[in-house]
Amino acid sequence: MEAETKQIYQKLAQLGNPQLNFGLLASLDKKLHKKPNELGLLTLQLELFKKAGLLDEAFVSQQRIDALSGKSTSDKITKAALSISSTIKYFNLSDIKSNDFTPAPLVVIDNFLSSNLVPELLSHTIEHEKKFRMANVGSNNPEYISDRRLTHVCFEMGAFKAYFLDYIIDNLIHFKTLLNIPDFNLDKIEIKITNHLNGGFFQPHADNKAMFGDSKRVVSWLYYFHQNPKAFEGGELLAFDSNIDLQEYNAYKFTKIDPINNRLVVFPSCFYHAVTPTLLADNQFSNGRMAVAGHIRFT
Amino acid sequence: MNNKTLNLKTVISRSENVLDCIVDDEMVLMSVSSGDYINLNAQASAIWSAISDAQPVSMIVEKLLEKFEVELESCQEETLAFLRVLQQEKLIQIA
Repeated sequence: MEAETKQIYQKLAQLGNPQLNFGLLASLDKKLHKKPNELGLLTLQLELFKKAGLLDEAFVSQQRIDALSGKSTSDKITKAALSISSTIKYFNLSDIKSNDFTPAPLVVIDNFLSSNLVPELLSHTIEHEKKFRMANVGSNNPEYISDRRLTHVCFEMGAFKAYFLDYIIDNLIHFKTLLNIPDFNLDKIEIKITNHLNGGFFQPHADNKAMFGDSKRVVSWLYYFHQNPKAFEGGELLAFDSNIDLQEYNAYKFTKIDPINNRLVVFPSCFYHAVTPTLLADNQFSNGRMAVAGHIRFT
Repeated sequence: MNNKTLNLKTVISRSENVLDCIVDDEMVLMSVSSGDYINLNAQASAIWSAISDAQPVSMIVEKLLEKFEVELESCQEETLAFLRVLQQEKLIQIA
């Protein structure tokens, strides 16, 4: 990793540091105790929850802020959420701001696969270790750039391919609603298995330059799985507040999504995101931070 | 009140606009209104710790002189300079 990339991650690691965010949340709690319904304080609390990766707390906090500001969740959104899962969490439903930073819309589903399928997917991945190669960056002219991405990737998914594709296609209409994505015609879905070993990372990037930009990717999704007990640290997804018009991200404002076993996360491809460096002491392939990753393309 | 000139007699206290916590033995402040972070060195942390209650700047200087081996004049200058930064960021209030 080159010096500039290291510097980016040092800054992001500091901002996402649990000690920092928990400490600031404790300090904020004292103020909220005196003014429990102060919107400015609650909004800051939501930001800190998101940076700390406390998604359950962030979801509750977001709903409280909406209720206090008189913003009710529409029936359409409630129905879309319930159609997918009763334990779904969704964030940042606001419209994309013109020439300004917008928080990345996210859908997170924990306990996504039935418990018998997770070890099967893990076994499939480990059995196919030799089929993995280093991942490229860029969708139009893909190339391997070690300073931007260190990810192992494999396209052989066996029966799991149909399982994930069917699920995504069946629920696409609901994801569009929850992620505030305008209607579009589905072209195809890219899908692969990735593994981050020791030092694996992916620099901040967007999978498309606009909601319906040239790369044709509209929706990006990741499903995390790994060995139990977890052998790695890091490998978190950071989804940044992004200025889509200027193709910029705000390094100080992001949602951290921990790669928890059996968790699915879905977001619009045009929002900037990154994978923090993975630390894997034994660097064993079978102990890596694994994911099924995909993109939905429009036509 | 925040545009008042600071001097050794000025009574100051922490603003409601700030969060603080210690990370790896370093104090970090966060402005509630802007979301900006400020990392404090040991001397700045000592100043911050000293202003948990309202008090004149001269009393903060006295506390710092007990803690650090520093000349009175430079301690006064550095303390006032740091407090002016905090004042600019609306992280302290003046009585």
